[in-house]
Amino acid sequence: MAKKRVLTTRTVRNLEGSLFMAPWLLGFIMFLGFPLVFSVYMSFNTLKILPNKMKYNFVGLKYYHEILFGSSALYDELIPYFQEVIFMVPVIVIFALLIAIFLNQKLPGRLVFRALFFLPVIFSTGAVLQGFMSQGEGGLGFIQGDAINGFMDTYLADSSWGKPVKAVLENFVMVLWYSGVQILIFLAGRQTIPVSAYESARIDGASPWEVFWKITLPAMSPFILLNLIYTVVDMFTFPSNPVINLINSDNYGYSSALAWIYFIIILVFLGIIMLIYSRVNRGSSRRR
Amino acid sequence: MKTKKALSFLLVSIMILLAACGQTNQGASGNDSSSQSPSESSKPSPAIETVEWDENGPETTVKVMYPWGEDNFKTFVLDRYEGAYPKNITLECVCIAAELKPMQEMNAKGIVPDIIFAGFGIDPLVELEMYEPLDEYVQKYGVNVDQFNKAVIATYRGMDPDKKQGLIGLPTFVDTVGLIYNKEVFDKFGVPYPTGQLTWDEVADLAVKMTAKRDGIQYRGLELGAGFTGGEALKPLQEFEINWTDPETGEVLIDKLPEVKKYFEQMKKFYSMPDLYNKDPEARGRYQFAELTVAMTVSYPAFIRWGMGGDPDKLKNIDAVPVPVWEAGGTGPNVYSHPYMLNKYSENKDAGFQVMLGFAKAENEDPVTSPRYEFATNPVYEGKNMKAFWDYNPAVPPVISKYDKLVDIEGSLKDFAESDMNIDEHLRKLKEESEVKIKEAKSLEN
Repeated sequence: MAKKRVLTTRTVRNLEGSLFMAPWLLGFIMFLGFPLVFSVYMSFNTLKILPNKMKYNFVGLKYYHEILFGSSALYDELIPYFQEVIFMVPVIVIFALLIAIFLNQKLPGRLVFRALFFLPVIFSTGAVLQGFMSQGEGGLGFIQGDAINGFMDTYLADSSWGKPVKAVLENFVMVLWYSGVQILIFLAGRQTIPVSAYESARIDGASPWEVFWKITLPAMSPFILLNLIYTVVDMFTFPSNPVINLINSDNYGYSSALAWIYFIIILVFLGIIMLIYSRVNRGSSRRR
Repeated sequence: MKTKKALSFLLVSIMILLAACGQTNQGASGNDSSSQSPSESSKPSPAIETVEWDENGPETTVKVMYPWGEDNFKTFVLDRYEGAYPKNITLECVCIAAELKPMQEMNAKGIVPDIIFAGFGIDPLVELEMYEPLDEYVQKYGVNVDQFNKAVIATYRGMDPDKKQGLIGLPTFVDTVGLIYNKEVFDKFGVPYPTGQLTWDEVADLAVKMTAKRDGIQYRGLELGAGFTGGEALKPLQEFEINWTDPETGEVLIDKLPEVKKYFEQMKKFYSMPDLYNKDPEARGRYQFAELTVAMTVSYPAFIRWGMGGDPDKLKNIDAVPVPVWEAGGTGPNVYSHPYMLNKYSENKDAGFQVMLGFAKAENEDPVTSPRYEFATNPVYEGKNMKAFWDYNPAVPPVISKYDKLVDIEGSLKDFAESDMNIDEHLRKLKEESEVKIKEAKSLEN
């Protein structure tokens, strides 16, 4: 009589796990992994989709060379947007942190306020935001007044750094729209700080100002990093981003090469942020 | 070990699945050496027997690629061309613009239109190898293409990407221009109305007489395009049978061509007339002729409706004469008509050709008398010399250079008008800017 094969409990558990993982894995390979690898391939080719076939023509690094050294198209779009991002990211993170602290207070209608601040994330899409911005709803009303507008024109004019500052102010409402997720992360982070830490600080006679700098901010630092990364990625991949528009061309090879160059630029930028963050964090830990 | 085997099996299964999914594309991908090139297909067969389309034959559906949606397709194709094509052919709209990206998306979905309205130029069709020269079908059905606007047909032959003078498509409505004038302004300055075709020098002489203030209103003798820098300002230049760039190499020729210099000298003459050019930046965005303060403009026949707002009071003093030329009897501006083109991959090429032919014949009727045209039916054109818009010999450039569109002469006119108008310096600068654009375009070519 043949010996009956029995799977060990461990194998069954592993198989179970693999089966649970399989939908995600399949989805990842089909909808992310394969397109990613294929886009690398496309970036070295000219691709045309003809009615009966896809026609490839190998061009090597031509598109990479053209984008980086043969044309100013990328730089014309990237540099001004990059300058805007440099202003917007700290503004968004600080705004989200302050609102999160505010929403953590025990105040009447707290739940409604929390919902209100998160609402834009739920119903806003790139097209909706574009619509608002094109209707001039992205700015702050009081800035449009003659006094402030005149002041900005006089002192910022159209200098290379003046323009992005003006652009940020003109679309300042975007900060609110960009901040929903960050507020939620900060709120969750704020709730991880034990109440006892605040109680003991109060007993020791610390003022709210000191409590913020000595307890809240240090405890929130991992969430600040998380939000920095999230905000940078969110801004660099936002549909109205001019570089994304440039990528959305009818030359798939060129677009793929540009997308990969842009990806590496974002990666380097994130690396620099993490480096600066770790230096600052290490310095403040030593001071404490 | 067993787990690893199971995982390996899972991964291999996924790979096989993906490979199978990709097979349809893979099979079709790779450099195509077997498919017939457009030039090969364009060679007319030496012994093609002339045949007639059998209107009592089987019902056929022709898919028409048309950019402006189902509603416009009904109005401007089905209704407009009713009875113009064989009765056993039914038209179906593939409502997609003939631009590179939408066309590739369409190809990926496996949709194959039979004929394509090339409203955005022929480059996307050439890029995607989807155009079919018509000479074989012209011969097969014994079509006399001389019945259509000769300049447009010559232009289509000049556009043949294979440089073999193949016929790339059949025309629709031909865009022509005329000199539209306002009798009220002429009367105000006591100048007699033009009675026939003028030369540009005569137009300049008239313009200077009618550029002055009357009753506190600034009148101007001439406007070419919105604010004198619009597309219509290029019409004098388009009367020369020249290419602005070398069609083969893309070399910018504008600084070497005496015709271009002559054109800029004429424009300098216009722009130098006191008060003829309105320096107000807002003037660039509107037609001052429509405000009844300009004596003459060069525009399209339908400008009388859309440009003047269709107001009968405004229109009563408006009339037209043929477009001015450089010398009496000389050629007028080149003309163009967005063509219908045959898709090389169509399975109904004969039926598609019959539809295109029907459209072209319908559009070839006399625009002033045919009820298909608004010029015969819309009362805004009543009593006006509409024949003038078709009363000239259009210029035909020898070969159409695809790089010409990268030389933005129109865009440079504002700077020219508002500078010290040094023609050589302006052309040198424009040439340099154009060279950068052409270099970029060429670097992305295959």
